[in-house]
Amino acid sequence: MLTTHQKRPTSLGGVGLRYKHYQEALEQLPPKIGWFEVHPENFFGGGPSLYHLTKIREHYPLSFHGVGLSLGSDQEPDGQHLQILKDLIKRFEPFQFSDHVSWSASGNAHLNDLLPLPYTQETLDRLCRNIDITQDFLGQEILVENPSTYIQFKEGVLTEPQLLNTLAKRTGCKLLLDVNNIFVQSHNHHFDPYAYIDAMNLDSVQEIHLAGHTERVIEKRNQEKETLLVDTHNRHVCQKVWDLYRYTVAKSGPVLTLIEWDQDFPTFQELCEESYKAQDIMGQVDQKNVA
Amino acid sequence: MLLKNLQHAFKEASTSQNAKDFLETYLPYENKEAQERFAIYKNNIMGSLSSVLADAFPACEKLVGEDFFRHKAYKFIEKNLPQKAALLHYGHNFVGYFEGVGRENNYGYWGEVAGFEWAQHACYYGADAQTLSLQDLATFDEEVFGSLIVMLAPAIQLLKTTYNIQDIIEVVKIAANDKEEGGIKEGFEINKTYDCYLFYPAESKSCVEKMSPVAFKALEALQKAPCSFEDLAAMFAEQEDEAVFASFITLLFDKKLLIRM
Repeated sequence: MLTTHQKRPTSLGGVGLRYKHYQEALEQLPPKIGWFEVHPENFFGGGPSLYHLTKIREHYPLSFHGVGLSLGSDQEPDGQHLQILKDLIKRFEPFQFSDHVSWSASGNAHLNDLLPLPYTQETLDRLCRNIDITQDFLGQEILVENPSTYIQFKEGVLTEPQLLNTLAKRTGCKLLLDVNNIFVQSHNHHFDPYAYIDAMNLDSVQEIHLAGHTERVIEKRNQEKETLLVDTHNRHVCQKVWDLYRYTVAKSGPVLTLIEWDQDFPTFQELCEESYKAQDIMGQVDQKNVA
Repeated sequence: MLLKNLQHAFKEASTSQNAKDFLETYLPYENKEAQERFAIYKNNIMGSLSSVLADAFPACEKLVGEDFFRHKAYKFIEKNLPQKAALLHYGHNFVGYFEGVGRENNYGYWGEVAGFEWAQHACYYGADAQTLSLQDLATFDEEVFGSLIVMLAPAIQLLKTTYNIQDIIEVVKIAANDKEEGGIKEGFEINKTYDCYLFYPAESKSCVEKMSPVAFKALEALQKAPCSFEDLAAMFAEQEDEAVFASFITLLFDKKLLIRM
């Protein structure tokens, strides 16, 4: 174990830390950022690749946000992957681990994306089994995140809130609610994002993600056009997502909130300012609740 | 609907030119809309994996230009999907593939540029190990020292080249910094030259050094199988200058290349 900093976040606002910002983060050590989140798969090697994470951990608590367990695949999580993850958790002591309600592995192939699932009983059972296996192996509760998707399948008997609430109830896992994903989904699949929040059991939500998205125009039958939203994590959080976030935390109370930014990176300072904005909203909502 | 069948069909459709059966069987949209929506996933998968390759082989990308690199990367990915979720080691067989692309285009050195970049990459992400340092060397009794069994640490990489690869990579990087398109600046000469390289991890980076043939041969032996220092000394027996072996031993401990077996 290498850590010297406390394990729990010092404030609710965090940012996703990517390679591009390691140096700036270590130089600035912003005091209002309570924690950093990293993808553990980026640290599955050794030596120099772990150097910066070790340095960051000396100053901040960490959350591990996995992208590789493929919890929705019709196969069990890779045992070797779980073991490396467990070793990293032991070494860096993140205060939590999360992954996604999606799949990426089919047989021996990994498609390197968070792919959509049909919301059927079979999917629900498979997700529960894989979450159970993961929690048993790691010896801890995990969080699972709602996806952003661009297709739905012909079959599907559950709504996404029903699926997520049932996962939490059956496995004891907690939820990571990505508010941008809800907004993106609501646009792409034509539902009310506020009704989605109302349908969620917010007691299970332990973290919220916020990010930017982009618009993509697609062509339909007879040259008709439709705009889809794509979860690109490459720009500022848009006002409509901030509004949905404010609505969510007004219902749930303040909750750990992370800004994700994975392409077309801003300066580290600009990234942190997005987190301060989320912290301000939580403060305003909290004041209102107290009053 | 069986989840396993759906996921297999999705995988096949995302890496082939023909996704028609998958789209008709599983998606509720009319054909054009289904294609366009599914294309977002296909582009994400192929785009992100080609970016992984471009990150591991930046000089190769600059050498041939981004468009050509992406085109060839897509062809590679279609036949070589990752087998692990962590992609740090994805691309080891891209070296051989890129060598073939170079041969097709009459550029024999392309494969060696890729090999050099992969060695750097593999060293940077190589497994940690408890290595022997100069301080350890000082603690060994002379009698015990000769019979110590050691091997190269797993992160250490060795590479032989037949062109002036390090110079080529430098020139390509300078051109990239100057925002020039792919290729090598006019006037720069590609030369045949036989070099031996050692790649080793330092605190926050991977380092590279050219090695003499005799030292390289000893390092290769240490990589293949455990050796004693007596075995190593025998490899330097023909060297008239004893200092050659002494400086090799210093290198092994100074750069922390060894693990004790």
